Amino acid sequence: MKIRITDWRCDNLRIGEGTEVFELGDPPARWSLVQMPNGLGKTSTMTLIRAVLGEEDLSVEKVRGFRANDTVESGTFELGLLIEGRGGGQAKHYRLTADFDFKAGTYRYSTLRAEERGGGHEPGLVLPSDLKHILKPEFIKLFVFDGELARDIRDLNKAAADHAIRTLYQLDDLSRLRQRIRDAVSKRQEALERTSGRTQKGVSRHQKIFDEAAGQLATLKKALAEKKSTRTKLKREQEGVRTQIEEHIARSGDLNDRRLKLSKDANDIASDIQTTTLAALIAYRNPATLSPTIRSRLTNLGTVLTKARLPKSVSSDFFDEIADEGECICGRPIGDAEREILKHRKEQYLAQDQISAIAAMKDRLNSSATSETSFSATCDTLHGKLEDRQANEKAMDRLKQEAEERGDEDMGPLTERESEINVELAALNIDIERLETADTAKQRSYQSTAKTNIPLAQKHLGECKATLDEVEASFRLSRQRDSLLDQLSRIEKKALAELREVIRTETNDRLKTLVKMEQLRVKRIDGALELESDKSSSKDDVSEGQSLSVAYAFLTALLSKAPFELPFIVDSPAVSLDLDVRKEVSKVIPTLFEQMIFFVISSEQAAFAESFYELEDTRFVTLSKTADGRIETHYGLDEFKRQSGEGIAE
Amino acid sequence: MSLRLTEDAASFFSKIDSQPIKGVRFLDIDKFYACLMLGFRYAQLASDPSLMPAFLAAGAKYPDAYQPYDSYLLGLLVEAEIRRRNLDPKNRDLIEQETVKLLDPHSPLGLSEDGIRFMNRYAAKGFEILRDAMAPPRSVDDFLVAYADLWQAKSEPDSGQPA
Repeated sequence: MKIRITDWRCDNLRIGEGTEVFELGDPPARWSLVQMPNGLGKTSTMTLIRAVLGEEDLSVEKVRGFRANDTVESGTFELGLLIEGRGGGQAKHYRLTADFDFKAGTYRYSTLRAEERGGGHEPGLVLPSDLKHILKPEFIKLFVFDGELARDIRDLNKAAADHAIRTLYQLDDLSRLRQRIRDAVSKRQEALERTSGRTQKGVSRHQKIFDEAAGQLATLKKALAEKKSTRTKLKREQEGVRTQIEEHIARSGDLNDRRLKLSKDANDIASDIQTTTLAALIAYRNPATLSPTIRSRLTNLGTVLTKARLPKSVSSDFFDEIADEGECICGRPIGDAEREILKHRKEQYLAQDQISAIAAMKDRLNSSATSETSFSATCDTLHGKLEDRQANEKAMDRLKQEAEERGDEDMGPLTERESEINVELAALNIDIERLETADTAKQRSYQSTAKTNIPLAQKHLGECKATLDEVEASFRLSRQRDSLLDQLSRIEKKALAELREVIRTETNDRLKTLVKMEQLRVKRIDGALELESDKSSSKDDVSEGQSLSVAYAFLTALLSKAPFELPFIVDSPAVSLDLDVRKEVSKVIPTLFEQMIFFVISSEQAAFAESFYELEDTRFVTLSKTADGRIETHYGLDEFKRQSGEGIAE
Repeated sequence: MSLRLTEDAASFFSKIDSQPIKGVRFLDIDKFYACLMLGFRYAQLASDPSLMPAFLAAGAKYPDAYQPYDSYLLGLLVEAEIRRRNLDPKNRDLIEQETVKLLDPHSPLGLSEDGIRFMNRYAAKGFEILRDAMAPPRSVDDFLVAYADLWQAKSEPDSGQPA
């Protein structure tokens, strides 16, 4: 991706009231030398370029510092960019704008993409996404060169060199990715209900709970199977005992006749009880037959409603209709006031459906006097049948006793065993119901828990499994996170180390041509550049010229490896260099970047600006202040030379 | 909102054999109804009953066995409220207001939210009376006989002016 600056425009900014436009060509010249006398806003222009590229936060004081004078209330800075995507293709123009309100001390960034369909100003910085991520204030200082950086890249406390490498090669993205992984895992783990077991210990604890629950369920199922098996055996035995008792009774003819009769009676009684219970249930469900008290209350209520002439015959719907008509049924007109009163008072009346419901209820109540069989009478019959059943059972017991008394020695043990079996079966039935009932009311009455009831044990096991799965998932997630973070961290460290070495070597190659007097080298990059020379193994103390040369060498080494071709903008690039170094620098610098913009003052002509005079793809821009304070912009070498000459003469 | 048994009532009836007669079940609404009628009889409400989940499906009407008597149940609720609150049965507007408050012709059970709340509270109080009068039943026939005795044995106290 190739990024070039085509122009910039200042409205009511530090450079002066009104509009000043700086055009570098379209496409722009490779080298632009902008000659501005001191005080015309070179530093402000550099600051503004950095601000719009990086959407920098600006203080109120800083905003007001851009103001041309006290009479202007607003201003604008606009930077024109020409961006060519990867793989070539049509370059696109972007205009980054900062609008200032000097009175309020506020600003607003926007982007104009004139070539986009429906293009217009869009808030903020709208650039290709892979470019946008590197345009951070710290990185912008590398190519919109801040003289401070020349010192910072050698300051061990500031780690500016590492920052530059990390930003350009997007190593910061790995740091951000690590944080995103941490956040994503935390968020997912927080979303889990159980947060107690993110460790191996927690997983083991929940596994143990799950195993215990599974064991408990297995124990209950085994107990149920055993009890059911015992019940089957007992029922079989009960059947056998009963057959034997019948056989023993049958040995005595008269006893057998009685037994047969009692058995037949028992069947008849059971049948009668069923029929009567059904009749009683039907009578029970009808309130009018349940009790005379209830029936009298129903009829009384019907009478009350009838006497009170309820429900009223006029419904609220009637008043609604009247209100919606223009005229009352008496012929008088209905205006807004009357309509409002009608709508309000209609609430005192029931709706038609309510009237119908109450009327239906009243009709039913008034006809509730019933000739159907009463619950009480049916239950009296039922009660009699239940007593008959009891009497029949007692008669059967007596029969067995008589058989025993007639010398049948087996009868005693048989009847005794039958009683025992009945007791055992009743107890077993309760135990089985306690174990297997899923009815919540029954579970409550048995005070069932997961340790005594199979459905509850199954539910508990399901909950334990869900917890275990969650805890295991959480733990697995923690382990995956740690592993990924570790790998990312190692990749980041290795990449930084290798990049440092590549850039150190490149920087040293460039330094060989830039600084010939004393051969300086970068010994190590560890946050900052540590220098050495032929004369000293640790070279902290360097001249201004050497400092700048090291910075240029480092930056060009760094940016030459970048996936972007960036412009390089520098303020007074040679002012602090002595003439010998200037000559060297001016030989090397033009080849370093695809686009270079130099803000120069007249004194930089010698041994620096003049080296560009013969270069074809160079644009010379000269700003001057007229006697009446106006700013004039001139393009071309002649004016550039003339101003330089004047400057030198001054 | 629907009809609900109290937790204690559900436990009380839990041992009853629900299918004593072939093809006929002793339903949850039968248990609720037993309690409700006693609550209506004495026109008394439980204060803050602890209720089980509703035994009727959401939006369901009365089960078939009770549908012929739904108007009676609504009327008995209105009647019990008139008695409990000692309302003048001759006061036409008051009786109408009370009826409208408790009934809703559009709801599946014909009851307003208030009406359902009162039904549940009457049933909860009725259960307290039932529990004091009999042991938890094990069979429907025994329960019906004991329940009939309960209605025959006791005459309700004067709990306000009858409707």
